[in-house]
Amino acid sequence: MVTISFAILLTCLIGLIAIIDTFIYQSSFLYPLLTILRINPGTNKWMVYFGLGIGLISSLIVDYRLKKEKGLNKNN
Amino acid sequence: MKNNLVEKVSLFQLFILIYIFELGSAVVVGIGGEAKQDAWIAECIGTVCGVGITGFYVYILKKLPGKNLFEILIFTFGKWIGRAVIFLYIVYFFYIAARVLRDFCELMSSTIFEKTPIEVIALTMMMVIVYMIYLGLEVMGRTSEIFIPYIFSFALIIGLLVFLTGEIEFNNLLPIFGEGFGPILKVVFPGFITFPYGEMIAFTLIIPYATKFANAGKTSMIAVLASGITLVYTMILQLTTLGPEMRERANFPTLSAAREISLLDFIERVDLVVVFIVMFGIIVKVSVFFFGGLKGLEIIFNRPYRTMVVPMGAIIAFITIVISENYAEHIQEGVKVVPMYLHIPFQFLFPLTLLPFLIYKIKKQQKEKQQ
Repeated sequence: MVTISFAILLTCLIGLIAIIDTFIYQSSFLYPLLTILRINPGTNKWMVYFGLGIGLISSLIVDYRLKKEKGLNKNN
Repeated sequence: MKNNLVEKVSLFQLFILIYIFELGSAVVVGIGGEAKQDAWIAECIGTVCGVGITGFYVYILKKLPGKNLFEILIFTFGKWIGRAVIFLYIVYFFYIAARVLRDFCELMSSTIFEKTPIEVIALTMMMVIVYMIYLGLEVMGRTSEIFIPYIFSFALIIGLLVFLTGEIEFNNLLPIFGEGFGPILKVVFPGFITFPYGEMIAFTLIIPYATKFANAGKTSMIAVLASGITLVYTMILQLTTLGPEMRERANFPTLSAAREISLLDFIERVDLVVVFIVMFGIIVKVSVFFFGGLKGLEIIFNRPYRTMVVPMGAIIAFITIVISENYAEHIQEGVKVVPMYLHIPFQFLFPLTLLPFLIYKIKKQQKEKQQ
């Protein structure tokens, strides 16, 4: 559930930013979307991608632990 | 729901949280530049409106004591529509949290951490916020309690030092109403009522957890008034020190004003004190929005919000960076798009739509009970 919420929220927020950029620059939706996601050489954007990766891993771990907890509760 | 922890904040903590929240990024970015030398008058009007807006939010909360805005939404509109609106609020809260954090990152990377990548600042700040929120609302309240004397005294000292340096020129405030009342009204609506006062919507998720809920409304309104007075004070400081034109051009006017301080060839670079005030303001502001979003997730996914703190924190850090290419774009979005298309619907339209339905639902429930 945490992973699902992670994916949904990330998609919605990126979508919102792309919509705002589309509105401001009067461009197509795809162009700002690609600009948001692209890692240009020489930039440090990879750092936040790394942070995002940690977030994803932690959400997977939380989900696994919650599932395990649920299984234990069922057995008891 | 697996949420056995009942978190409470004292009225004093609530007061401090609101006070710092309202100052937050409003102190950093120069707001109300269009009103020129009358910006402080616009801020005064904005403060009065802000107290009214807070009163309106508290009025909604008092209809169902002990329930936060999201629980009220579920009560009024039912599970499905309620959850859909809550989800929109979550996106809004996280987006605004990222915007506020970006304000701070820009300030840091252009003043004291010039060679540090903005991504490092965003990630580091988010780690602190994640840790604080993970420990809970009470910890956030206590942290604010510890820092408030510094914030308050530093704010006063900066004004005093600028005055002693001889940089204050009260003529910069003249002529009063030089361009009439039009520019002032333009700045207040929708500028000041949405930022920072309308952002009090995030507190509809904290006020119900005050120890004495009956007095929370009064406390909140007094806090908004106090923060408004402080904002008027900083605005007068900026205007008298920099003048309306320079203030409008400056990215961070308070910082520019503090840079003018030079006393006895010894007291200099006091702008770092402003950075400290802003840093704490931003931490509180981002935390409140983050907490609001997490509370929504708790209701939608039926999981304790603490399980989602780290992943959502990572998303906010990511969004902070990709939200705009540069500071100019960030400000342009903040002026052109965010107030009209995000702030007004979430701060006013949804609560105003909610209220009649809520009153109807409560009356209906009372009638059913009587029968």
